[in-house]
Amino acid sequence: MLEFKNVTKTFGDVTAVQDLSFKIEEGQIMGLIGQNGAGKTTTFRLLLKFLRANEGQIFWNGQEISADDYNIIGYLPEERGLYPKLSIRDQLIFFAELKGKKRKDIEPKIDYWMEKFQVKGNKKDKLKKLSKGNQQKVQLIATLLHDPKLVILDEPFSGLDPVNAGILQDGILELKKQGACVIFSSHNMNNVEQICDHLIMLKSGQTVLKGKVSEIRRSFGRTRIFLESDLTPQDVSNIEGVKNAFVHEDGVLEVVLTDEKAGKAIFDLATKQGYIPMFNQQPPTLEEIFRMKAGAPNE
Amino acid sequence: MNKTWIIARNVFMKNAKTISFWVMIILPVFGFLLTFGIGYLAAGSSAASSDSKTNESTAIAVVSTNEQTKETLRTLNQNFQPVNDIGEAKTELKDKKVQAYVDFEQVNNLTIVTDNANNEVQQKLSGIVTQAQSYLTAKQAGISDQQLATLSQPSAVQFKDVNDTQTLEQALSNPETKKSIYNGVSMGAVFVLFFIVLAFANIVAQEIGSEKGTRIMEVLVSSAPAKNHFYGKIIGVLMMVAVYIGFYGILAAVGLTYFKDNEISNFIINQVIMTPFFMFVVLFMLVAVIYTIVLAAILGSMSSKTEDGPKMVAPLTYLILLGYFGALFSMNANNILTQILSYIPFISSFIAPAKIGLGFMNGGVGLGSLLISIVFLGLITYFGAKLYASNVLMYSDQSVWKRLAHSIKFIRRENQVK
Repeated sequence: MLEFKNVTKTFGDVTAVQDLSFKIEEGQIMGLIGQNGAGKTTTFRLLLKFLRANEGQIFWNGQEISADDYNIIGYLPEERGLYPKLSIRDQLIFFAELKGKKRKDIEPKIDYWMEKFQVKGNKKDKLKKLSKGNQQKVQLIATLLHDPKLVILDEPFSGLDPVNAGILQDGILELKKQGACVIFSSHNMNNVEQICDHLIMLKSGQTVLKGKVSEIRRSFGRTRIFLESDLTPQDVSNIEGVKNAFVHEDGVLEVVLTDEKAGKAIFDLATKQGYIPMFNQQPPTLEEIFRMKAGAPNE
Repeated sequence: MNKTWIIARNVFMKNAKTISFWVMIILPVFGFLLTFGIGYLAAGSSAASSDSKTNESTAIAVVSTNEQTKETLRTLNQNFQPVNDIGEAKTELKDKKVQAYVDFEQVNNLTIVTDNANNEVQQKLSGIVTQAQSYLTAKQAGISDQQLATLSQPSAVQFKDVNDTQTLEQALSNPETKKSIYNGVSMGAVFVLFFIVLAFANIVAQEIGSEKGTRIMEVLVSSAPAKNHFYGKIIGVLMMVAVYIGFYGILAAVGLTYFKDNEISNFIINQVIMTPFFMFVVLFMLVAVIYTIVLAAILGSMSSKTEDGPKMVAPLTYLILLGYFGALFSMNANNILTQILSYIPFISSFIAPAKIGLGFMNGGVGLGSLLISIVFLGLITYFGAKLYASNVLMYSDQSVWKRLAHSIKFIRRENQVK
């Protein structure tokens, strides 16, 4: 289990991370979101002991984390980098050896991972021969090849097309099944929503959101209604508790509420004539919550 | 397996698999062979060219109305082409049928007329004509062919240089000669050192700069602490240096073994290599190489991009140049400046061997200078590991000095944290 306990990091007068606390149990995935400069990378660097916390502690299975734990960590940095002139095989073995693995144990696994991530190329190929997408997959294999128990992924989906993002998502879910603790940052809220058990949103180093994704969304109330009916935005705009309404390109009317109770009045109005194909009252999406929180003044 | 060793092995193997590394090792041999080869070919070509010029037809028109003289000259040398008058000789010369003409009507007062300005050709013409003149004069004086043959024998006179009174063995045992050889060895070592440290400073900076530029560094330091990485890099590059020096060591050993019976070879083994002086030279060189790798690693870790490497090592390049020119300067002067420089760590590796070679510094003082350098190297390496750790994850476009100041500030700030 990974635990951050009241961790604070400052750089001179700037507070990069303030009083950050969270736990990730084995087999759980935690998403760390926030705008650029929110403190995500500093959090990862504190976890990797690149930086020392001014206050607070970080524990791995009850022991303060140290460089001795590097062998159980798999880290994918935001900006990817491998040796372009080395073969895929040579660099994967090098990185695995640095994680305390033996060459003979690693070599058979290379084929498995290359097949799993559908890397187009031979393991004897120099990395520079591969496409950017395939190079990214090799980097991800380097992160996972040594069966890490704690996986840190900094913007793992950036630069990946939807197919490869799906492959990566499956890979992360497999780690979860194997009981690894996974912490990752992303600007893509769909990915976060789909695979995270827990979520933390940082803003200027402060924790502005924390908890299970579904609970966070529900805490904002069911303030979004999507309906297919004869109603127009003008029909609902005067109802109390309605903030605004607009029609999507596919004809679906979206009504934004300030009070979720207004949903009943809209439902009654829409079904006055009988059957309608869709009435869906939802909490705001994670992306909407992100925008709301990112734009709000610091709490 | 120890992580430092894994990194060292990776550095070594990665470079050992490149052609450029082996080219760097073998290039001086090719340079040497090329220089001497070209010199040899040029000398050969010059000689051949000279021979061809002198071997050009040296036909000489000889003017004489005396048929016996004409016949004698024709028999004496096939180059002689007898003609009847000056006019005919001039025409032959103009038509390039002959190189020169000589009027043999007055045997005691001969003039060679030629349009060839080549000195060697003129000398050859002169030799042929003089020989013929001597023969004809001797005949006129009634000297027989046998007597003439005796007179023509080359003189058995030998030259002896009054200065050449020593054998090679005596010359080598002369203290002044020994001093000159030591001086030559130390200057040769400084010259070799200059090129080795410049080459490896760039290799190290490039190596680390590319790891930072390609962002591999973050993966590396999340696998092994930065200080392991730093020491691993140093050991890996030292292994490359060992291959470089080992290659030339083997060449030297083979050469000395091949010429083991040679006086000079024996002198080099017994009076140069197996001496404390040579040991000093080797130790100072080794210390300088380690300094270079450590300093280049620290400076290289301040790179932000792959191409920053050479820019970052500029301060080290200036230090190397200072050492090199300091050593050249100390050859001609034993002043206070070079005396001070011979105690300054790293710089001393260039200057102290030169001073020891020249006899300006005795063994005890040289040892002191070496120990100062080694102690300082230990300190630089220790603090270098800390600087490296703070530098490797920092990216900046500032000057190297500002980056260094920033790095020191970062270390202080991190040390303040419990």
